[in-house]
Amino acid sequence: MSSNTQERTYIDSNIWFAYITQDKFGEESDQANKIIDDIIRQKNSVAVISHLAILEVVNVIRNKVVQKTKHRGQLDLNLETELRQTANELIKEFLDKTTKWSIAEKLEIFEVTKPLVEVWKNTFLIQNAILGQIIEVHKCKICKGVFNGYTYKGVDHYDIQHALIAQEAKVNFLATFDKGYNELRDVFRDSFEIKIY
Amino acid sequence: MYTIHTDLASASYARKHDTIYQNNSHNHTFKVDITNEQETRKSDISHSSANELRKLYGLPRISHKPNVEVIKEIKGMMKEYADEESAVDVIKHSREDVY
Repeated sequence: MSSNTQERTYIDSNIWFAYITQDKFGEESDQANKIIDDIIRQKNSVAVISHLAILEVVNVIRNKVVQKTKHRGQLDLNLETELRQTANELIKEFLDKTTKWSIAEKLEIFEVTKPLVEVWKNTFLIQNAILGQIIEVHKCKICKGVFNGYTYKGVDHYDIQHALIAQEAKVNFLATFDKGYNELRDVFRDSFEIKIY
Repeated sequence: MYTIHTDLASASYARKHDTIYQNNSHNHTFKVDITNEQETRKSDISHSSANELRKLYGLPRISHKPNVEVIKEIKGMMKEYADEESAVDVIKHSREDVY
């Protein structure tokens, strides 16, 4: 890579989440730390984020704050206000730091210019061409108890939209923990490399 | 890769954003490093998006260039909300929970 060429990495929302929570098992957060630290350290490296990825992080913060709060009896206005404020403060903190990183020119908040309908039509085309796996399962996704059934595992339409945004942003890499992106490697091979950690 | 800009608007843009250019005052021809120019434009859009998001959340407009290490301050900011689920599942379940 020449000294003037930017190395651009689209960072998927799951990496951001692992970074801000430093998950219990540590493996994903170690990887997330390395990805972010490498971008900070390397002069010509830039992280790229989309509004879609930001929306997903904001959404997951709201969900987690509510779901992880221990039950304290009947939900009243005080508790509801407290939870809303907690979520809002965390979202503000996330946006404060990421937008500062953007002004420091290490993160690009990429603005999609293609019409939304075009993005969706392309998503349809890719989704139609790729069918995931149908597998037998013996555990419930919700309660983790015994459940015998079938499930569909494949790339979902949000993942395809992330990849299409990454393509428009002309990134070199798309970094994710999601193995579903394996199915998109060939589709985007000519545009960027998908790195699954 | 270089491109030649003969109009004064491009020259002004190059000057304003410190892009690499050469000035021949006789014929107003300027050479602009197109790669740097494109990167500058992307960065301008990104700054504008950043400040729009800040405004939406009541955060003050950024007037100076922050340290790049600032992002490390969000590392672990939600540690107490981590759980046994993988980050991939968390995002996927969060998508499913919206209705």
